[in-house]
Amino acid sequence: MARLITPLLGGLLLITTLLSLSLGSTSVNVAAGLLDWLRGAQTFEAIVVGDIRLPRTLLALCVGAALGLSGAALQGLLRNPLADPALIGASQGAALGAAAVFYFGLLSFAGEMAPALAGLLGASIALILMLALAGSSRPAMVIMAGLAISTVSGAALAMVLNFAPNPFAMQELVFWLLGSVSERGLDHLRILLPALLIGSVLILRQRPLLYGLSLGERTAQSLGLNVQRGSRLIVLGAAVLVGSAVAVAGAIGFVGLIVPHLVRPLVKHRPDRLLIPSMLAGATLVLCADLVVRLLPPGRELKLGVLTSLIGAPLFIWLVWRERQKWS
Amino acid sequence: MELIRANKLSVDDRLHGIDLSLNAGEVLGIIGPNGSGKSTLLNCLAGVQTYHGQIEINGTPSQRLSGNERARQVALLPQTSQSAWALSVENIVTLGRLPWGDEDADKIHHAMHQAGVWQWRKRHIDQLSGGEQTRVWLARVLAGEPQVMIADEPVASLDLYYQRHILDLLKTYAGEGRGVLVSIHDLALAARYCDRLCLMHQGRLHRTGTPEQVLTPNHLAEVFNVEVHVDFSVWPPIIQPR
Repeated sequence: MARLITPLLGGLLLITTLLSLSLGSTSVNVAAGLLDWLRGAQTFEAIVVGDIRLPRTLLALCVGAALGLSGAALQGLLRNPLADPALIGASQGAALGAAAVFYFGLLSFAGEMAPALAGLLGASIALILMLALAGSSRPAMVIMAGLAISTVSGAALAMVLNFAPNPFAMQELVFWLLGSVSERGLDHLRILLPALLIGSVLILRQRPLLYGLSLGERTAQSLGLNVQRGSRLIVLGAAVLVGSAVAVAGAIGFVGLIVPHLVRPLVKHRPDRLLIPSMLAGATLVLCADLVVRLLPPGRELKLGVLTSLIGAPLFIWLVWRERQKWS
Repeated sequence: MELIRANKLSVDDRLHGIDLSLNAGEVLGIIGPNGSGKSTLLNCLAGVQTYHGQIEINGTPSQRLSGNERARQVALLPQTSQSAWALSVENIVTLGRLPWGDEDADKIHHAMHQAGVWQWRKRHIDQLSGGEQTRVWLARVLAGEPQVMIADEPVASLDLYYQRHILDLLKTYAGEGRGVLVSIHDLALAARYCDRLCLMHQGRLHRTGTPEQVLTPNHLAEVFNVEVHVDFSVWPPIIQPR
């Protein structure tokens, strides 16, 4: 069964992707639309499928994959099933970076890409500060330093909101922070795709370390693994993934926490085999959530990040309850 | 044949100028009071503790070996082990193959049979008792087929049956042309199972030699500050505080 999980999740993701391309307020022929779009023909179907649904679908897919993978990697590294990408400070750092763009009008040369670029910068700075503060890659220190940097970034973000130049800027900022993949173009993939590739390579190369760390740092070291270097590379990979995802789509909560949890029993709890299935399941989950957002009755749009939190929070409560049953 | 040799091994104020060697086919016991540096010494030899001095593995200075090369030859069975995840026994034993970068089913199955954990291979590690778990941790080390096995108090907190079982296993393993370094608190067990002993005291090697040479009432009184009754004329030998 464990061997079939990756192909099964891959198939599920493919079906969801096709659904995401075909469902919407107007019904169009997906294949014809895609072909027209690839040919550069400006038909109605090409615009709907190629310019509207395709970017949105691909963004949701990449953001979900990045969050799922980084969550699985961090939980494995910190040997803590409750570890979350927001934990290392990358999410708040990215949010602060992007908010600074809205507020100060920084990076104006980057045009529409400015918030995404600033988000990536913010996540990287938060990460460098976190690693410098933690001093080592010990799980307890990473969690404490991550929390400290998150708190500082959160305070700075609140200050930016507080002094927003006008209500519209503040509204724009708050909506952006709620998380969404709508109204974005294929341009954003230029940030997200390389980040997804780099982050995935960094993390996937450390699979033996994640497996070895199941028995603790000392045992992993005695098995010939370079724990310190490998841990840093995993944290770096996770920050690249989370930073770029938050930078492009805002805060989409609970995906990195819940997805590895749901997938873990299916891979017999092996942290190294959890990575790719978590990536696929994360992509499917975010894509499904975005589909729900799109299919809701027209009116004010429910933001994707709000929906994932609404789904994720009860699941989280259920997890806590299940843990409690185990201990009582 | 010398499998591992340490020259002038020192760790800050915990270990001072230790020289020792382990030969093929030998069980070398490390004994001494709490805090005498037994675990620190074993951790240095296993490559998980920084040290001053020189360690040679099969004649090669350990700095010249990569982490993997070293781990293929020397494996550590820590004093306590715990799995962060509910891994199955089979997946725990598979961890022993990490230095080799494979999941060789034959070797994993052989290790499970050797340690007598085959019947639990599908069970989660946290469903087993302490003694059963120790056998699984040992199977994990056996799966890597190291030339040198370093076991840090493997029988502490085990009942009589498991103490004998684990030490018999280590003795058999050493008998196959490999070497075992084991730290042990129970001096009677040390006398029975070890070919040579290193008696440690305050981070130094106090005495080295055969159990008869090391376990004398005088040496033990110097190190443990306790009068000990020693009788090697019976089997197994008797070593009891008076």
